[in-house]
Amino acid sequence: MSYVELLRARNIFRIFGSVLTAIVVFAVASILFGTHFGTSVHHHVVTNTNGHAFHINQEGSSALQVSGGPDDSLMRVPLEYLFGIAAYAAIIFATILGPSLNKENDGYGYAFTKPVSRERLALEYFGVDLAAIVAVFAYTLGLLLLAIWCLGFFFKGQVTFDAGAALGISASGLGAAFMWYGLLQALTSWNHVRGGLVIGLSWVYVTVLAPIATALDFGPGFHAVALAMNYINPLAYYASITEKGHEAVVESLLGFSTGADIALTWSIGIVACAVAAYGWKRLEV
Amino acid sequence: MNTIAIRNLTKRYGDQLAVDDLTLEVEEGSVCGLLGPNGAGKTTAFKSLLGLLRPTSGTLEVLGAPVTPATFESLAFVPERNDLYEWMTVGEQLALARRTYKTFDPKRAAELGALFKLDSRKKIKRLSKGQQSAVALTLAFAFRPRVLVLDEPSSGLDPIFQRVALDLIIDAAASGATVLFSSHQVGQVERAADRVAILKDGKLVLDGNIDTLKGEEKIVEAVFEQNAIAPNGLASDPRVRRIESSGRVLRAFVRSDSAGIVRLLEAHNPKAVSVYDLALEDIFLGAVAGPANAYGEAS
Repeated sequence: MSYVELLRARNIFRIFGSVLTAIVVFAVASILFGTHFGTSVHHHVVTNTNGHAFHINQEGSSALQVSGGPDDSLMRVPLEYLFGIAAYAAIIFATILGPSLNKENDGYGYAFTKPVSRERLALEYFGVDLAAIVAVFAYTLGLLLLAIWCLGFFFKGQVTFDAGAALGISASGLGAAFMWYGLLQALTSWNHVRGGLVIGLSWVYVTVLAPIATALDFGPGFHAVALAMNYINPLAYYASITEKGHEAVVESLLGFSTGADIALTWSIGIVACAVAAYGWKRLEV
Repeated sequence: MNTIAIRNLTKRYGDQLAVDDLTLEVEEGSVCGLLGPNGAGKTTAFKSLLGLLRPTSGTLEVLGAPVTPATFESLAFVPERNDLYEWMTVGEQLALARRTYKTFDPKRAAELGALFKLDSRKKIKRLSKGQQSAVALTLAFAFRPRVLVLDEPSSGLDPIFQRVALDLIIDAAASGATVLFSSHQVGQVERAADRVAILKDGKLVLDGNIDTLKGEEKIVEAVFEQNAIAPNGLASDPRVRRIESSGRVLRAFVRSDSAGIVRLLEAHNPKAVSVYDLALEDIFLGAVAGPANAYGEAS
């Protein structure tokens, strides 16, 4: 029966992967196109998650001259950022897959009249979905590395890599993806509400309501509410990389250690999936 | 042995009583047709039997035990509303069934696909309602189940494929399968089933062997010059179960001595009096008809 979810995840991956590939190809092509065919000076500015602007200059020659930072020194591409972007893609994909059990509730009969228990079926779905989320992470990372390679950064020795930061951001990002996925399953598995609606509302909560609540300062009581809102906000656990001196530091909004963030997201995800499976088992269709 | 046993099933949705103390047993190798008007509780009974709904009370068994996931190795269910994955192709849907059932027979599936003229490359959502029903039937019959529960199996099928569906049911029963199916087409039940159960407002109002039920009564039909009026005493005559009239036509459902009822009606100068064997449709209408089109039950 996991075949159903395998096909469903494959279909979503095809669309998601195509869009992602198109965006990266367009970005790479626009940089290369400008580099090779421009006759005047062009500046392409790429901003990283920290707000640092990297300038790619071209002055009528085919050679790519790259500079970064205000002192115009040689541009540095920290590869750990690519892990962060890949994890973010995995988070988006996880929210699309989130209500996979709920999709079986649209009709009745087929998923529930097969020689497989609902608990096992739910576990199979979780397994397939988790593998697909990791696959999207890997695909996005591969795509970004390919883009960096196409832009010539590897040949010029301009890449740097902090393995610790990359591991931290990857585990934290995939944890946030799994947590969000689990919460969506727990919210939708036991009812007939439209999964797409819940996905949309969850994005509004995570990207609008929770950040606004965090930003507002209406006293300690409101602060406690905002904090509580962020405990169930997967992105609040998603670490970002900040640079302190020459060190890449992985930090999340909630201020826990990276290890605690990772442990919490995966734990919440597992508990949410267990709740979802229980609710799904008891569902009358 | 009873392959399907529903005993004292009651199912409530809040204050609404959907099925009321239903007891129905279907013997191994037999075909039971479940009839009833819309909202009679047929689908609720099926869903309760299969564990899709929790009954308020009662016991439900298939193959001598309550339904568990393992039961579905031997049981095929075709729901009233086609519940296929619309985004899949017919081929993918068949591949899913092949991976799901140990006893799935790809050769049989191919035969059925050819019989229903299914294109395995087509997406389910591109098929007509009838073709979707054909896919559901193909999936149900391709793993040669011991028990078939079919809720309106020929819904949407054209008359040719309705006949094919009926033949499949009869063929499965001849091979030893037990079939419980519902239909709004009484003729289909009459043709395929050896037993009928009729539900009304969640209650079982009639249950028995079709041939026996048909042999129990005759219809005496009288046509009058003017609007028919039942002769005095006819409604309370112990030989008459029920009377109905429509314009100038009066019908008496007679348990015994139809010749005596004919003589009674002839005394009121009808234009014509005829005696018919009961059809299943008459039994069904007799069982579910309300007082609006009937004079009432004889005591």
